[in-house]
Amino acid sequence: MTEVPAFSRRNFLKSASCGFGYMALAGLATQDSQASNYQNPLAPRAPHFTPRAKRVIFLCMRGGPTHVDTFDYKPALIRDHGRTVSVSGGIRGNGRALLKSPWKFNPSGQSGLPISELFPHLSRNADDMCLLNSMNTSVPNHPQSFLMMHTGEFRFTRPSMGAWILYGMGSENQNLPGYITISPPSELGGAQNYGNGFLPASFQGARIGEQGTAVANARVGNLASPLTQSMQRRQLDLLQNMNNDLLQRTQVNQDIEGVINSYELGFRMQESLPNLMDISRETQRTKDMYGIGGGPTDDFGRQCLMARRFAEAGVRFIEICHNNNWDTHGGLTQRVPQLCRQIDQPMGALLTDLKQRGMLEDTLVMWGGEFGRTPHGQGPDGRDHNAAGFSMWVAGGGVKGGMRYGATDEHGIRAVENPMHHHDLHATILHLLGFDHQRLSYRYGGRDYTLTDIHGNVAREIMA
Amino acid sequence: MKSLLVASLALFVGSASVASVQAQPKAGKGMEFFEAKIRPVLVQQCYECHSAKSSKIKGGLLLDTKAGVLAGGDTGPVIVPGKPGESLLIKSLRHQGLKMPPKNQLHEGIIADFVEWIAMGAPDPREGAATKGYKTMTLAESKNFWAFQPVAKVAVPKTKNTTWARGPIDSLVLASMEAKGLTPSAEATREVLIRRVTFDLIGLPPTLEEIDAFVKDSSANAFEKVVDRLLASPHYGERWGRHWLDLARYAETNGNADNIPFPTAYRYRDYVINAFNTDKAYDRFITEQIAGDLLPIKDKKERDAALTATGFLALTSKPRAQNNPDYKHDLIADQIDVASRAVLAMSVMCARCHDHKFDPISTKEYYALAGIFDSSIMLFGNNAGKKGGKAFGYHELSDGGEAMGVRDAVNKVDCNVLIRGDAKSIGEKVTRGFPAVLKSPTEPTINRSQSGRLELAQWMTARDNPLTARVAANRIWQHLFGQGVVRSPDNFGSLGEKPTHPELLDHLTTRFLDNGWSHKKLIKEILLTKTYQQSSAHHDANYKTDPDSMYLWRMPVRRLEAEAIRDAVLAVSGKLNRTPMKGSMIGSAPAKKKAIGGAEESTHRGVYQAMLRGRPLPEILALFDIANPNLVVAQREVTTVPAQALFMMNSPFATEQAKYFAWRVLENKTLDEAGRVELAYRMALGRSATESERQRAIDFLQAARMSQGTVGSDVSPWIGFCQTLFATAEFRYLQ
Repeated sequence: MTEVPAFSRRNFLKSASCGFGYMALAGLATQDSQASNYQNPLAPRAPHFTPRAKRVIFLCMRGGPTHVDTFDYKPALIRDHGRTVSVSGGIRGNGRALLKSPWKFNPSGQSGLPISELFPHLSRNADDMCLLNSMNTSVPNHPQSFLMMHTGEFRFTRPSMGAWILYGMGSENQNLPGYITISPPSELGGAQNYGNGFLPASFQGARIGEQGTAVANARVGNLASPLTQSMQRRQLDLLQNMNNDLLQRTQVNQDIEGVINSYELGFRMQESLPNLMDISRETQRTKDMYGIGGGPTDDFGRQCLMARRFAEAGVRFIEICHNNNWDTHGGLTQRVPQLCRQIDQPMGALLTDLKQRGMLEDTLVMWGGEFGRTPHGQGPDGRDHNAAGFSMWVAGGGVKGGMRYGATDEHGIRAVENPMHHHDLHATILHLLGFDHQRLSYRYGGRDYTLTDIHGNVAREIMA
Repeated sequence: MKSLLVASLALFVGSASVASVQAQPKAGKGMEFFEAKIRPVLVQQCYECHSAKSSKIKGGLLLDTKAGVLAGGDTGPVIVPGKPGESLLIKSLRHQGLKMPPKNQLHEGIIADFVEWIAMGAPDPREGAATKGYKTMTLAESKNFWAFQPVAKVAVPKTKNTTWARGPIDSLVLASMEAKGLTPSAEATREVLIRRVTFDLIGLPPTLEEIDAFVKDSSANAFEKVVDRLLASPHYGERWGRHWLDLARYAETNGNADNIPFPTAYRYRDYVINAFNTDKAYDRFITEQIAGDLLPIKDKKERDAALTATGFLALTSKPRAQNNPDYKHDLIADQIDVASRAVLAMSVMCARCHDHKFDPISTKEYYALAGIFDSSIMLFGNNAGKKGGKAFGYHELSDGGEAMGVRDAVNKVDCNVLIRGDAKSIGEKVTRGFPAVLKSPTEPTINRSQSGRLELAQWMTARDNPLTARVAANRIWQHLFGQGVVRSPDNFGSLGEKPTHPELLDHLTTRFLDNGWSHKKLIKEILLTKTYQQSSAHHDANYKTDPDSMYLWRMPVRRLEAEAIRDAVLAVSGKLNRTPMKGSMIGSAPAKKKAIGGAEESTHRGVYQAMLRGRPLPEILALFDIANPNLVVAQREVTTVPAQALFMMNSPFATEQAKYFAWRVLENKTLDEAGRVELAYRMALGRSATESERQRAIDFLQAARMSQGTVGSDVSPWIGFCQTLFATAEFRYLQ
């Protein structure tokens, strides 16, 4: 993939020395003093302090992944298999029997991080991973917690974390959306999960595809011109001439200049975005590494590879949503291996690939879902929702590898050591990106809002 | 903030700090003890919410100065020096009653340090007043705050230029211009003026016939005739009703966790459109929406309207009730929020959890209002999700239809204060009533056998309520000039903006009241001013002094709203369906929540397109910043992003409508190419093409034909040209 340089007016003037927009821009350049009033809302901005991470890739697992079968090793659960539990305080399944994981955990990497045997590929990256074993959230219901995970709130409409991050940092590449979400679900709060809430609309996530559709078939609307390229260039020259005339007439400046700019950028996005989404130019070796080429890993592999390409091109926040459902109330022994199989190789490839390219150090990769599942069984072969304790993991972006942060109790029911609520995760992500979560605020309706509201503790121990 | 950061780094977080603090030997008495044992814990565990630098100060309590500690918070003193047993702080640390810190109980060793410290008499070197670090307003101070002053009768100011002003509005604007050394602009051309006023009043471009008629009309009241025609148009309500729907967070699905449809919400939409078309007095309009069900009613039609109006309070996005002990109060908070911000431009909702620091609204006053809504039942409509067989109820209308809304509950109750908004921390009971900041001698007393919504509406719409009419007059100005006289149209409080022309605002408000709360009359008065009719032309000297035209030396150039851009495209292409939509695009959607996809678009006006929460809105509307239907929106965003450019260049909508537009242009077989270019310009932009524009267009068309090897009869170059007109900045900006 060719590197797309960050946009600057002068660069563009040079590179577009003929054709599209040239006349209009040449006209503009003569009145730079006024033109400079225009402020691109997506221009890169400096955070509060030196960031460890510059971008985020969030691997979103909807449905509530079972933590005791994946990343939270609980020997006592094996020992006490079959014992009934007594739980209260909103935790589901009082009186049900503990159900040991049907899968072994292997010490992985130099650090010996215990990871389920269901992740043979990913476990090779253990030394880059920090398991967050003390995650917890407020409500064991999908829609509320999915919104909580994405926006820090489920009662009211609030901006999504990606929107907050883009608002805080701006975008590194003006030819692309700064925030992309791939295959998001239409329920569980739908567009609110990548929405801008009360922030300006330029900070919302650009959606590619939708849950339930293979990402290979996903298209972004309005990128393909119905005209030939030369015709479109002619049309844009005419258009920019007209816009420039208006600018000269009214000298109103930043609004009209914004429109002129938006056409410049849009024109180039037509090229850059489909190119980035087109993974056919990747080597066969790369595609094999991600498990692309049919089979269970194809879809998530494509998502992961696209995520890497977007990250490389300077997209600030990329979320990819596993096109499946981790809500394993039943069929645990059959479904969990399938789910893990679909994502294991692609995730391992993503971490390895980022590392090889020197990008893992400033790219925060984050895995997880809205909550976890009960260590006690539900029916003969399932687990119920559990918001009191579950696991996520993070890698890269200035995070310590080969580490377990926090812990659930001996069976994995409840986070007991360094409990980390979704709010704390948000505070920590913002910190890694160089923001004090209490200061990254936006005034709306007479109040300064933040992603974490009155909550949020930064988990400094996980920082490298 | 820096100190917090340093302290946290030094101490670490959570259990690690507990261990380290406990492991240290007991320090000496007095200040040393404070420094060693107390200050670090305060900094680390408490300052987040209880210091001048907190982004939100909780419970009105500041623990970063000695004075703050001694002053206590919303629930009273937190320590009694020398008496740890009587100190709320110790009880809270032990999580007896209040729980502090809320998430983690501190180690008993630390609590013991606090007991010891208070027993010592709470020595504390942190002198200085408790500085809250933000602007606060007490009730007494609010008496002097501009927004709470009675609306003043304004004298017409004397101006140096004695010939320009046509009336008091012009004089007031001119006086403030002159004070800044600004001079007014010339009158806009008739072409510009009719385009401006037509979009402003009905959200559509003028037709060629309307333009010609106005340009040719030499009568003295030519413009007034245009204004009267537009105000009488049924499209006026579609335009101005939409402004209100933004405030009412109008939507046709619930959004949030359970995105169930509101198949009867459209009745509220139609009520609002109709209210504007009939110029319903604004005080009546508000009263119906707050308490339509409690009004004495003449006939069926009036009753239907009044019941439907209460949909205003029920159209909210409900959170899920399950696992949410705050559910009831979340709904109440939404009702208080929408009513206070839409009608009063006051943020009252903050007082749910703490006495409002910026504006003098106390938590007690919040719960006095909450009791009014707690004594009411929300009717979310019968179809709106029968969960567990329980319907949400609805108002039955005379035609057998249903409307969402509210009615009084069987039991009328006063609310208890919930300390810090926590449903489990129940405080004193508060009698239903109204905030003292807007106290009036004519204030109604709540009829205890009703909810109090009727009296709330009366209180809001009393002539001496200083906010309601001011807020409305300000919004009328805002929708005609792009910015209100107060540039924070949903916040007239201390965090809002001050009026740029305070006397003008009072004059407008007085005229609004004197004309019986009529929108149309005030709009007409404003439109007939010279101020409104100025051109947008540039003027060097004025621009240097006032680049944003805050003092209105020229007409600000404004981006059209999403609906106006969309409807204008359809109007120019000839495809706009100008009849009101009957019912809703989602009217037949099944109640099953998962059945909601994106709604189909129709060619009806934008205001009738389905507004679905949590689902993509019609693309062109979403791209051009339609109000988020989850939020109370007094002023829309104006963003300019590449996605808009891509939509105009490549979307099926843009190319399809450009094709219809091109066909219309080519329909006239008698015109030559130059004549057609002229026609296209007039249709799309409401003006003639300049000579150079005409030549450029002809060059474009010829080049397009050459590159495609096609002949003159081919439509495609024309489609490309017509699409370009839609895409221009001029098409979407109003001069």
